[in-house]
Amino acid sequence: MKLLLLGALLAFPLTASAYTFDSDVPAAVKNQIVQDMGFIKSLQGNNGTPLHKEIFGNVDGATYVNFFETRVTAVGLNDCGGGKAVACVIPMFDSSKIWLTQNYIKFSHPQVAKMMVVFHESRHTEDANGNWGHATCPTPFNDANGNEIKSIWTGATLAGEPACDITPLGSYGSSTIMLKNIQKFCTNCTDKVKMDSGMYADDQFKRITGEEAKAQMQKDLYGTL
Amino acid sequence: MRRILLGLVLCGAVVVVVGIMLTRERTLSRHVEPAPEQLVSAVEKSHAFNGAGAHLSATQTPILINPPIVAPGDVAKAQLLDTILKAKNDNDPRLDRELRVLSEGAKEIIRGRYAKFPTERRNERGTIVFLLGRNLTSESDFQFLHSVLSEAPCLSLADCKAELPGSTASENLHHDLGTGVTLAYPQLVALKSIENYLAGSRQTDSNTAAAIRDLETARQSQITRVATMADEILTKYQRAHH
Repeated sequence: MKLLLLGALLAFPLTASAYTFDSDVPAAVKNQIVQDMGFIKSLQGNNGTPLHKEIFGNVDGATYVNFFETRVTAVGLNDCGGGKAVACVIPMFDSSKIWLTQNYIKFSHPQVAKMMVVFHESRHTEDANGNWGHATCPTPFNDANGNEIKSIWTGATLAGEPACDITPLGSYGSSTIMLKNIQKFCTNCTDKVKMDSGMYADDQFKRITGEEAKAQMQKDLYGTL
Repeated sequence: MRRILLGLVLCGAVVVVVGIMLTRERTLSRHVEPAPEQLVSAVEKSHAFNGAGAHLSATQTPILINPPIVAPGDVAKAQLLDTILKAKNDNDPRLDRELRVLSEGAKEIIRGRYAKFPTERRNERGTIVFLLGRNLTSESDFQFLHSVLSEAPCLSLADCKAELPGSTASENLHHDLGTGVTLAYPQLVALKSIENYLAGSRQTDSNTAAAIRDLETARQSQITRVATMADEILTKYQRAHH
């Protein structure tokens, strides 16, 4: 009886999601994203920065899951064109579908980093906002210390490439805001999750290149101008 | 008579199968629970003395001097860590409860775990650095961080030793979200730990000197973001203390 109950409890999260999985999504990938979404769903917080409230609401697991499930209706398997990607959205195929790659389970990212990618991609499903297409990175494209920002994958400079945002509300901005708020306001996160959230958010913030957007996020997330 | 013989044969078979299973179980148990003296890490052994070795790596081996005493509770903590890492749940509250404070013995075992994970397991390795980095109390702790900071750059998440070719198509460039952070994750966590140590109130002169030495090593790192972060922490510390 106990075993039956345990089995039912374990099976529940696999069947409770609002989105569907393609039949070719391997069980390991499916189980991992279900577990990772369960992690997101478990988050609790009682506040949020103004930009976070505008995009999501307060830091809260159910709010994040609702954000995801009102945008993503299906999960498929794809190589996302590169061989190194973890996830992508391909609007011309299906703008409300997120594609995961085998790297989702193969690569050893911290859990919140994987969620950052998933929520970044889920923002790209929004047809009404032109799928929040990226802006062209400036030339030259340097960080605060004057180092040129390059693609980790190719070593090529990102200057002149469509890999930046000039709004806080796009994919880079919204996922940065989400993670920085988890760092600041999550009340049941481990110290590791909070540290990871801050670390990855600070890194993503470099992809915001519009001066106005940068200043807005600086004030919202870091309390400085 | 035939039935009795058949019964005896069946009983014999059952006894043999159970015997094999029990032997196997004992063997597996031995693998899971090595004797404490077997758990002393190669890392600790390699760094056992006086900070020597500016280029030590976490996989180098050994001369052991005064290994800490390992208690059964220390082994239990290491096993709990194994369970958490296997479950891939970064938000397991036991990370902040049972594994917040580590004895010298527990640290010794957990340092050994670090070297056993392939370098590509960035999150597992970084988690171990995180736990040890919250317990910086001895020279050995800073020597361990030194070894982590001295590691060769991880070139790709699929294979740290090889930079795998990827698509250079413009539309794919935005997909390398956070990859750079993950590639340097154990090193960045080590630096965060040192930063927290230097900002804390439990400093000793010798450990602070070791922390500064680690930062100076990291400032020379081939990994740009590690070198930059080390420089920032060092500059901030020097400004606050001069």
